[in-house]
Amino acid sequence: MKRSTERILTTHTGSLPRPWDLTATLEALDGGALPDPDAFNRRVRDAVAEVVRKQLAAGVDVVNDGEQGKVGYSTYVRHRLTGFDGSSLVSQRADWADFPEALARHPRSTVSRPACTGPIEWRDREAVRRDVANLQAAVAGAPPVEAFMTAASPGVIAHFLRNEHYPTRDAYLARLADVMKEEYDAIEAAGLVLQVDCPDLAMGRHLAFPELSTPEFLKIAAANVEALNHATRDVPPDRLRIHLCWGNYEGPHHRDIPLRDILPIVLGARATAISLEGANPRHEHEWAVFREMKLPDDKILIPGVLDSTTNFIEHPELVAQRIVRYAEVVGRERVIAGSDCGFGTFARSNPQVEPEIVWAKLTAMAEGARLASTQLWRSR
Amino acid sequence: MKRSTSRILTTHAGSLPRPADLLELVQARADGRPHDGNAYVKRVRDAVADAVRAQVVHGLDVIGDGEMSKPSFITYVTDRLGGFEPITEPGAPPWAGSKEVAAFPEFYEPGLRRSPNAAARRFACTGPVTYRGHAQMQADIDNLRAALAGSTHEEAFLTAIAPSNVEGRQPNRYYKTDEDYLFAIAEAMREEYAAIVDAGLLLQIDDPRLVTYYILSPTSTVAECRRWAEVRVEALNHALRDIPRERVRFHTCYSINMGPRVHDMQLEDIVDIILRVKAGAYSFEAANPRHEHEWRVWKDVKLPEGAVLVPGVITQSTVLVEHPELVAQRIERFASVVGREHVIAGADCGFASFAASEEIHPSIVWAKLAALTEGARLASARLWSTR
Repeated sequence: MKRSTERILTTHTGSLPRPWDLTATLEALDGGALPDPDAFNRRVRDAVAEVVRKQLAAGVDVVNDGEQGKVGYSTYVRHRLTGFDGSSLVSQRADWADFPEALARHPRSTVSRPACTGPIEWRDREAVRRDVANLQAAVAGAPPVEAFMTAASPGVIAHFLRNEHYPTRDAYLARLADVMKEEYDAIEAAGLVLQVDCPDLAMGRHLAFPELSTPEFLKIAAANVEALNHATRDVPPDRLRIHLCWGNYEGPHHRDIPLRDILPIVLGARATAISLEGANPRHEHEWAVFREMKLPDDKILIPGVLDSTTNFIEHPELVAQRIVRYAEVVGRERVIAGSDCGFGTFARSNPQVEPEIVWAKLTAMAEGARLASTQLWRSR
Repeated sequence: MKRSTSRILTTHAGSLPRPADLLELVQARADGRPHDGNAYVKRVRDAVADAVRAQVVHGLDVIGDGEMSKPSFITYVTDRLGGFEPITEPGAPPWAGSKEVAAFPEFYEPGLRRSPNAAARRFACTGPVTYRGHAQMQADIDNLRAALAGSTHEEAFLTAIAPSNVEGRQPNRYYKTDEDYLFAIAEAMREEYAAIVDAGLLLQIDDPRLVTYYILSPTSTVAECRRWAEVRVEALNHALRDIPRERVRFHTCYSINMGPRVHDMQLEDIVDIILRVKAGAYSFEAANPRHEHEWRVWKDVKLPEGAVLVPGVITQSTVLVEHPELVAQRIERFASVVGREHVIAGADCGFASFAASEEIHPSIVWAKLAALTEGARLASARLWSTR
């Protein structure tokens, strides 16, 4: 994995704006329609090429496919695996539940969430190969510093798609780990950095298990990390990054579990790099956690320096200040600038952040990383 | 003016969410619709009492009336000034034609149509500007004083609009020049400012136009806006000439709550002119992604003797409730630059600057104010522990 050895590198969480027509197709697909496979695949390939070009133009160093062909970073697996049918109960978000009148003004749009109702097997092994081929084709002409690809963690799949088939949660997780291993290995084998998305370790606290005590939740998080480690056992840690987040939505977020509480478990994951929220008003202060809890020498951080829930374009000076705060604690070579979360977490026609603004934010990040690099490499 | 001598004091920018039934009365009054005048008077009095109680319960130190009697921080004034008449031509949405909307039309245009600002009645100046708002002003003072009686707080403030904002919203159809008009407004507003200070309250001057003027014009340069701003500050100081600066705090802000805001005037381009305002405290945005970094600007600025900064450490620009630790970090950054006694923790802007604007639901506003006071306690514990 490339590190910030000469300057602060930039990346992002994974999902990026999709063209409107592709969004419409994905929304239809999510609703049960079956688009013409050849036309769909062609459209995705072109969209990936375009989104890679735009990342490079915006100054992003570690790029990906923007998840152009996926309906959602976690629920996409239902199209690739057998065993999912019906629907999962969508849990109430504990933070919004404290503000019922305010919630009435923030209608929630959800994607379809089937439940696991039968044995999980691969149905479409080709899907990940198409993703890999699309990305490789897109970067062939103008190689970026590095390329990555996202995949859902066993824990986040279990979070969104409830188990109604396997006898226990552990059995469900174990099966997901065994199956998803093939996708993880395929991404790594293609020479891409694998990012496994693990919001279950943070967001899971107030969305799925608000009734549990913190120690009880941490046991669940530890089981999720164990499943993740089992599933990624053949991926070298240096080719692996994980993303954790507290839910990519503009809400009160006052019930978010503190990073301090989950960090010991997060650090148990095999991944070298940890991508985490660092820009929004509920987590911006948490750089200071690393003053008290030492980041192991072999790990690097990808803090969010862009808030993915606001249409503000961060001032590059603010981006630089955020980067420098992390760099002063863990060292400049162990910081890659990122975003709090994705900019198209689920394919939908009313994104939280306007597409044109997303690209301006990424440009502001690159500019801020330049400012921070100048500062961090000048004085030594 | 109280300072943070033994701990970080807290305040906010003025407007607080109004109860729904009061909102209806305030709107009816502002729109010129029939309404029960006695019910309005009584409802305002009770709402101010409730707002003061809520501020005290949430631990705020420098508190206000939440602007309960007013339809907005700016339009209230035509009810209190002579020389203005309603006009029928619809006002353009406030940001139409601005640098921002030109750059991000798809983002801004849907919001412009829903703006309470755009929907408010318009007036023009058609005769000599005079102050005739004594009764309304006295009612505001009486309501706040009554509410404060027996409550625990450090200090209390009332807001009033700066002359140039009156100039900007109401077209001049009477005076020969813009400056004649501006200084006539200043002379009239002087009476309102004096009334607040004479009542023993802090006067907060609201002056968003000082920094938004740059955004509003599609072509203006920073240099042009600075020249324009110098004259506006001169007019404001003319109105403040007999008031001790100790009794005045000055608030400016950008008025666009949520948006890319890449054209916001940068603090470093205007800070020297802001500090020419004859005030003892300066309140400004510092808690949103476009201005949070600007605490550094104060390193290179010499504050007027004894002046206090009131940076926003919470914002009306996001639903997320600021983490108290983040509030504390923001306060500590300012304290590290200007000294702890020169910092009062505030909010970027009002949470209901137009009575009908409710981007942040009242229940969340109060959660944010609770985070503000909690963060100030954390910061105080650290800032006063080592000395």
